[in-house]
Amino acid sequence: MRLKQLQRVFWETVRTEPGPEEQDLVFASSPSMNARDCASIYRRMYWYRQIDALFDVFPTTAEVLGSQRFTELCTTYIAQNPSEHPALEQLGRHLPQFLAAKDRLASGCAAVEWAQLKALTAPDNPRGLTVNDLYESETTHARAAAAMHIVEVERDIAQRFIAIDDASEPAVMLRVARAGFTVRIARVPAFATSAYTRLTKGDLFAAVCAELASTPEGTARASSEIGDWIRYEWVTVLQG
Amino acid sequence: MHGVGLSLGGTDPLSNPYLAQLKALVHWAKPEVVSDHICFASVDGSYGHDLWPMPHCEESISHLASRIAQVQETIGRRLAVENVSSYVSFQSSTMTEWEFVGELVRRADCDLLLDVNNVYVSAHNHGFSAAEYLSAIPYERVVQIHLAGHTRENGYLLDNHGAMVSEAVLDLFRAVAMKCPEARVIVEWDEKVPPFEKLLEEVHRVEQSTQVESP
Ligand SMILES: [Fe+2]
Repeated sequence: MRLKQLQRVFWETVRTEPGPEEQDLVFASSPSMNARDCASIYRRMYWYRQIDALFDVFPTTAEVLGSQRFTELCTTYIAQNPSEHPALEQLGRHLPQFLAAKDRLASGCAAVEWAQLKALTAPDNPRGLTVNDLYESETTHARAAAAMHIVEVERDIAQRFIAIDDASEPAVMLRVARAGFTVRIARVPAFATSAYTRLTKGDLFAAVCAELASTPEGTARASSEIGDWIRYEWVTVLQG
Repeated sequence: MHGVGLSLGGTDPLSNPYLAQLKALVHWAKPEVVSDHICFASVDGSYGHDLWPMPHCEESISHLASRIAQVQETIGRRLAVENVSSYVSFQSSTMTEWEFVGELVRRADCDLLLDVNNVYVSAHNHGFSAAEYLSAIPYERVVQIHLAGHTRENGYLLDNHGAMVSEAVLDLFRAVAMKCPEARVIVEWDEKVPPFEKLLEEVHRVEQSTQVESP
């Protein structure tokens, strides 16, 4: 059997139980175990490692669903969405969407946790906002950097991550952003939500600033908000 | 710099984005050694995130050798390839693992990262002699040595990087260290990681082991 075919049989054996019939033409027995049992060691390791990786990235989602249900759902998810990236942590990229039809709360938590992973693993910002950009705001566009994600979720989902006092708000805008080596989750204050929405679209920086200044509270607090964007490189500047 | 994702033995094309990022990282970090494993890790675009063993045959050698050459050319550096521990063998193997590894590194003209624990684990699982394996290694190509702990499972040994290096592996290591004294030694411990002092103790134990005369 040629290498390509052998590797396909190996893959099928690892992914399915009891595996394809052709495995009996591929694997050999060891002194103490038959060939199928030897191959099944790789099957156990495969499923353990993939599910374990999802537990790592989605701890709150797992808590919401309970360990057993999370494991069952992940098993189905992995069967439908095998990893397509050399980095194992990318395995969960479709999990929020997958959970959407199964469990609203879990899907929302997964969206926040996926944003955490993306913020943590984002490359450094090639062109962070500087003080000088404030003077060129009429010609520069600004967008949220890869290390900052804006996620809008229902209040009960947001409460799994941060304390929310205001019981009247049905939806909450969260800023999930990397500062140093940790990812912080914070609620975007009401005065800044329009500005953040513009940032996610790569709008003119002047328009972003105008949104911040459109309320008295925003005008008073704009410098602290923009100061964070500069300090943590949460905003990327696009010329022209 | 040690990788697990090149899938050197895989039959999918080598990932160009991965190679480009590896090249950039190698140029930035300038590591002493760049290494990955003698294994395959992806099939038809799907990744297993494991180190799956290769059949020990001519087709594997020529396939691996050409891909190692491609990596070495891309990154502009020599690559060291590591022997993996394995739990299954193949009917299509036509040679021993040590013949396979020796011929591969010669043919690919690359370096060898010799994992002594992996040799021990595979020897136990497949019923060959670890000493015979280690007596046949081209030591002039060994640039790094790995040691690690393993666990005893039901019917096989598992390389889990989650325990102290066993005395049996240390015995093998003593002989290996004499044959390639320039090679750097790494103790791999990345599961159930103990406090740092315990890790340091383990490193000292390994260092001491080469200073004691074997009986
Ligand atoms: Fe190793």
